Amino acid sequence: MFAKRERKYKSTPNRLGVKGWYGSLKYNMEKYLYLLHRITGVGLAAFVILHVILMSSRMFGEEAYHQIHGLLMNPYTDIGMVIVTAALLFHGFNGIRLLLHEYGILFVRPKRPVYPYRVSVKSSGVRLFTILMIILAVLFFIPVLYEYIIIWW
Amino acid sequence: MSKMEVKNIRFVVKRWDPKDGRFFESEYTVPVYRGMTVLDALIYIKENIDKTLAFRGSCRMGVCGTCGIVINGKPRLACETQILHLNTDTVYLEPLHNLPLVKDLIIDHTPFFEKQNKIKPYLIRRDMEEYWNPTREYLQTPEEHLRYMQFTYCLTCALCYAACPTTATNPDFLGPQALMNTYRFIADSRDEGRLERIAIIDNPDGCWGCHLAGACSEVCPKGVDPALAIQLLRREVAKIAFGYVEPVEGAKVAPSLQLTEKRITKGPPEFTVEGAEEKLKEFKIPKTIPVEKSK
Repeated sequence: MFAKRERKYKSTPNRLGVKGWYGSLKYNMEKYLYLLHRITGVGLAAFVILHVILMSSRMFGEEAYHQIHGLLMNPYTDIGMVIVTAALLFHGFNGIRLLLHEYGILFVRPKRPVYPYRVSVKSSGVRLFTILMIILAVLFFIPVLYEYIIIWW
Repeated sequence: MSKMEVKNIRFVVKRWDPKDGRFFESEYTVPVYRGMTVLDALIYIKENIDKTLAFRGSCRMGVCGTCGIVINGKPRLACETQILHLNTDTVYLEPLHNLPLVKDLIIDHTPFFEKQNKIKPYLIRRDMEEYWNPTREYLQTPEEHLRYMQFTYCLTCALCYAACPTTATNPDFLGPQALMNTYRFIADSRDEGRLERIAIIDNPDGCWGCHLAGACSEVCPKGVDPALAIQLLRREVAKIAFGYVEPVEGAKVAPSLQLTEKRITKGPPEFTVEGAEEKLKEFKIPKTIPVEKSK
């Protein structure tokens, strides 16, 4: 289905690989959002696959469907669902941020670089919007968490 | 700390052995004084402790961009990093990531420059006669110059290339510097090769490989901000994808020198302010200010 991509440049022993995503802890906030976006993306894709597999149990009859859902009725699944919801909210709101920023929206115009240099991702408009998206993700997550806490109670 | 006070700092250098094809570490203790840079420390090690240590450095003032290494996990220029500003007793040095190794701290810039050359980093013009046999400079306003000026400060030190998380996993990704350079030429009013360049970078190994981690801008020693250039470049690519293609006509050539000479021979403009002549007489202001002669 997928054509194998042929790499023109060979990997070197000095190539960081996935370590380059988390590597040093001395970067800007956006690099960690980038890492979290990737992790949540992979996690959500895995969840969707698992969800489709579990739902397809209906093909084997109503009894098989209820049997599998009976197995899922435990607190660990609830904790898993809270994590999935948190991942979904983060991925969604960060996705909105990326959609806008990746087309240069809210970015400042190029200027004469004067020391101390201030990079565009740290400019007030871009940074404020980033923080706003994180706050919105947290605000949306609070009722979800509250709902689950009540269920557990 | 006064200027002459010295603090002993441990340097751990991750070195590449090209014969065995493996990394090994060497440790050195260097007496550090205030204002001493990492490049100074490397020169001290080379001169006094270990003559086999290989590193690159040239101008010592952040202009040539050859001394880029990874210092305490972050790509920096060795000549612009003061050791005492790092606030650590141990400094870890590594060669720049994601590039082929030559020896110790020296890396091979070949893939980096090959990728830069891919995007045609020169002015593309349709007037080939003027291009190959130029008569005068192309005209450009200061505002037009400011659109790309920030991106011309690039040293090609490859720090952004080493910091980019996409380059870390995709060896074919053009990298922040090449993409930034693409926008630098697209934004240049003298250039007419916008569509030609966009055809090269409009793919997952080009501008769509960037995921806005912002690490390239964070490490840039000259404030060039490649992340900004890449996002603006994507905007241009998206505009074209949606059919919004503005006709691009490169800047015109300045009028010939002959014309300018004629203009100069005309002399200064006539004194045309009404009533000014009378005012000058009234206040007894001389038309020419006398120059005092030295005795």
